[in-house]
Amino acid sequence: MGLSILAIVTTILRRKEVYQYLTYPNIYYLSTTNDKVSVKLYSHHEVDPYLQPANIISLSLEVPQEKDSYLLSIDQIVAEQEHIHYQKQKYRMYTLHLSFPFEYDEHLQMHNVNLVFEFVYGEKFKIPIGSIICYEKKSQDVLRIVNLKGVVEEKSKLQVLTGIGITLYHSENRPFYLEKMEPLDNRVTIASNTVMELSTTKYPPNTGLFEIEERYCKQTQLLPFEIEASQSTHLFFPLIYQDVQTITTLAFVVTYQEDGVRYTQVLEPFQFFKTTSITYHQVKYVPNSN
Amino acid sequence: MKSFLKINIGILLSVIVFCGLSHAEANASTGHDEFTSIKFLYNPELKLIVEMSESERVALLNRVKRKAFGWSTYTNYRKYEIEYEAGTIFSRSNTTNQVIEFHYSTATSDKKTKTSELSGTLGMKLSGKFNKITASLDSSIRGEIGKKSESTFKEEMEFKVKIEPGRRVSLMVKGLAKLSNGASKYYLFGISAKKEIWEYIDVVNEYYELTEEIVM
Repeated sequence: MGLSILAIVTTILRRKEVYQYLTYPNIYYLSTTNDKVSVKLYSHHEVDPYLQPANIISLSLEVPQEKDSYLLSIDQIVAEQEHIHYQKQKYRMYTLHLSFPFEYDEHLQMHNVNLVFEFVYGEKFKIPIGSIICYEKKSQDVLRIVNLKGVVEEKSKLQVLTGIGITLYHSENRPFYLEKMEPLDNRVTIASNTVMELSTTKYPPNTGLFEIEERYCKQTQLLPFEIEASQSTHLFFPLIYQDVQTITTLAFVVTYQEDGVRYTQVLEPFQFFKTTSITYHQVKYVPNSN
Repeated sequence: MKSFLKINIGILLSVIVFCGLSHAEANASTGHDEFTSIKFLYNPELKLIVEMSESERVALLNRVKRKAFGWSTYTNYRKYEIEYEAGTIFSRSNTTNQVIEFHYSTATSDKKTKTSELSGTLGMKLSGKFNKITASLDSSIRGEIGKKSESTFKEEMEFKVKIEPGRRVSLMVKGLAKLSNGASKYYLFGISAKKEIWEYIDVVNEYYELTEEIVM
């Protein structure tokens, strides 16, 4: 510990240089049965003293909008062999394996979250990492999903998931009604509580919503929607955003009624798409500049 | 003895040709190992390098302007939008009588997110090796078609699915990309010393589709 502190002090005194980090916004889903999260970030330094666990006094999550803060536990920080180049500079990937040593409920959502690092002598810096969404993992999975895919369009120069297609199969010969489909991410909702029934799942993922409605839609109706027994029903849900943004991964809470009894089921997070058109963050830290 | 040798050499050559043809079949459709099919979004009449005839490739090379020293590049297609299919990431069956939870994770589908490059000299065989594009040639090509996105982050893909007994769950990949191709020549004292035909695919988006089917 003493040697590590000496190393970091020596490094700072020897040369006054800028430490640069890169991250990109991600969505971390935490179920109530799993309190671990792995965050990737990239450092301009091959061996970064600020990413050595022994030198980090504390690491916390900061939620600027709510002014909330949560102390984290560092399980491990791994300096990976992966490197990327950005603006003609080489960055090394680090993976931070973290734990949440506190109780959280299924409704906890944090967006535009920063990781706040604190070091000796009051040094501190922040790195934005995206969103953290907590949910309760429910054990009952009655609803069978036979097909799941998304539709992505460009809006305001961003790649946006504008709808999701889901094929459900209900085998029991009992009345079954789909009542609600809600994204866990509170920045996204289902448009007007409506659902389209489609004739097929063979539409391209970059199809526009207008074309989905014109070419593939059998009918549009408000929820609740009756799912016929012993056959696959292709459904499509258009999405609405508070602010247009790129969200690649969504989980859903599905509420349905079977034989007069209401149930809810969580559809686990699914990454609908990946894009190279992402916004990344570069953080520059000058030691002892606070 | 001679007839024995002839028969065995004949068999050996047949195997080599067969293997070559099989290998050609794997790459022949697109010329890129990562993509099983490629379709131009707005220009269906356009051709990939592997679809061009010998004379069409010669015509590309003939369009390269002469210079005294270094690489000279002619761009045939510049960032045309394409749709691609990249096959199946995983396909997992459950032949047990219990539900299994399948967790698929990869550090990256890196080969699908970074540029796919194809190059070859004139008269290349589909089953032959493609020459690696050198840094200097890459620089010349990028100078013409523009850089790819700098966002080459290693994004981990993770999927957790539950597989019912007697079912198979598959994850398939499709995507959007930008395709550029052309020809380049390396000149020494104004004389062409090397020739390359190239094709770059810069991935823009990758889409995932989960499907379930009955296996028994």
